[in-house]
Amino acid sequence: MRGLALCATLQGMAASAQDLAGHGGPVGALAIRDGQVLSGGFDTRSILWDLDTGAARQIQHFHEGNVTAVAFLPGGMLATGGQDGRIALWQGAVERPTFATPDTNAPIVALSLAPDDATLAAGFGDGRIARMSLDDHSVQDHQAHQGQLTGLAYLPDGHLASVGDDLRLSIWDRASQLAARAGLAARPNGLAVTEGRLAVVFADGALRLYAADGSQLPQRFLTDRPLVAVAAGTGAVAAAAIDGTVWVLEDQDLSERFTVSAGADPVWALALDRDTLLGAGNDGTIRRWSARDGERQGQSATQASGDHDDGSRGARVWRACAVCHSLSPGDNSRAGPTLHGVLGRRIASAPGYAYSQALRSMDIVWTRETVSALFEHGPEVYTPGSRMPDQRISDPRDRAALIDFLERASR
Amino acid sequence: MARMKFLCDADRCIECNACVTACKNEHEVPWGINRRRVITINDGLPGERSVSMACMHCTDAPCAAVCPVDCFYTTEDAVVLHNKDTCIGCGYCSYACPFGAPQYPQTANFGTRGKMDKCTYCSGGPEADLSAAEYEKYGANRLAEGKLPLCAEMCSTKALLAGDGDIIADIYRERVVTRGYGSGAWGWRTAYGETVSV
Repeated sequence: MRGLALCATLQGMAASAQDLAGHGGPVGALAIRDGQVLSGGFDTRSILWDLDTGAARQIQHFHEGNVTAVAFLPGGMLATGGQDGRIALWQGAVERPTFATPDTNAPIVALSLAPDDATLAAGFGDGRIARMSLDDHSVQDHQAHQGQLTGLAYLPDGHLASVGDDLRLSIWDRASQLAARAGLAARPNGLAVTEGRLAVVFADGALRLYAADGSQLPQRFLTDRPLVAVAAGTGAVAAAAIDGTVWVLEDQDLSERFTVSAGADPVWALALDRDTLLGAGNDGTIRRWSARDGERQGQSATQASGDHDDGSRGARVWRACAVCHSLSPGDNSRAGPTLHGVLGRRIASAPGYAYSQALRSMDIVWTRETVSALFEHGPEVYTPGSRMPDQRISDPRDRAALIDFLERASR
Repeated sequence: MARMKFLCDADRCIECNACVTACKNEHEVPWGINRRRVITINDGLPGERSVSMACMHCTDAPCAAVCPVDCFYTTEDAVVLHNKDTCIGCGYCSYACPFGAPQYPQTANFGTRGKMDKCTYCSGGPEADLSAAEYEKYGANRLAEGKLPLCAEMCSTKALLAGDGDIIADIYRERVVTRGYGSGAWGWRTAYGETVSV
């Protein structure tokens, strides 16, 4: 019910805003197919959007932590991967996935569907690649990189390409045997396949193309800032940097089709098809442009987050809290519950938020003293078992300023 | 104040991993985290080179630019540090870092990644210099003792240099002139926006 209620709210919001706005925090994963968009965010949700109307069709809330990878599967199925290392498969508007792999200690970095539509590959932060049969859900994995895997994509011939921060590009055959390997000049941050070639973005600001045998093709230095996202569409490849700049290049010679700015924040995810370019990042809004000429499509959505910066010391401390908490009534769209009316409230009692069992069993009322104690000792000590990252504010003046701010802004 | 930098001379690194071991020992870095690692490029092929890689303490550090909770800060020595009390373990700095420096414990609770850990240039964190709290969270503070990072001190071939950026750049230039070749100070341009011209 919680997911459906939020969906209705988002649909109402999206009707007047062409940007896809609904995630309560950074968005790090995007996919586009046949007029639908799938996104994953730090708010632990994945959302299926209708591109024409901008409406959120389906809100999925399953992963513990950031949703880091998404993919469209055959037959209307969806796949999501998370910081919890789980792959979840979704069929239809359901509240729970139809299948999910167990927790692992390494986050999922990328998902890729094989050209025969029979296998889903997942790349992990510990350098592993797992291949899951979409028929019987059996999983086989192998160690592909030393350290973090940073990009993964199937080639049209069924080979699987991966890059990692061991500075290697590896091509794997269907039996997960190494078919080709190449050393890389810098740290790769993402991989996409375009017309059978590999487009890799690097932290040194370059986009380099590679053939299916690992040999290097044209490269182009786009910026002196790290490139962190890449996507391929029909005849084009898109890359984005941490300063919000997005380039769309012709995939044959890397000549520039256009450049757009998505603001000053990093763009963590891109999606590209023949008509549409999508970009999303730290502010949680999914922006759209024409893939042909970069013309902005739609208009800026009003951020539901609200701006509570009154210039005070407490407001500065609050910035870190605002990544996961809203101050608006009933707004539980972020990773944590709304803190509207938090002072005087019993722990784990905000309506509409799924608290952990550990918090529900505690007997704390949030007052100036208890909020101060929470940040003096940290959640791991004061509220053990909480999903909240262990935040401590060692300076008592900062704690007092934060509570003063909450007294003003949370009413 | 000096502008502290690292310089990795890829023509000298012999992949002995002493820097990795020294770092882990000095700071009691937990299992699963390597603040420094040695990467071999073109392994077994002509042009093979190894580089010792960790946080380079960049000028205009990308990690700080993308952090949603603003937990990074730069010291007077130009060392890039972070506050673990503020870090939420989101992992975005690891996407932005050109050197794969941010590390996360592989056994964090409740589906989170835990606090980010990285090279401190052997200069601790925001807690009081040489305090027990500083050591527990960030490891040793050799700079406060008037020493340089142990990884570079331990390097038997002096492939890894640490210290005032101008001085170590001069040392590298002298080497290149003397031996007649140099493949460049690996990562220097990416980290500091300049090359070591010879």
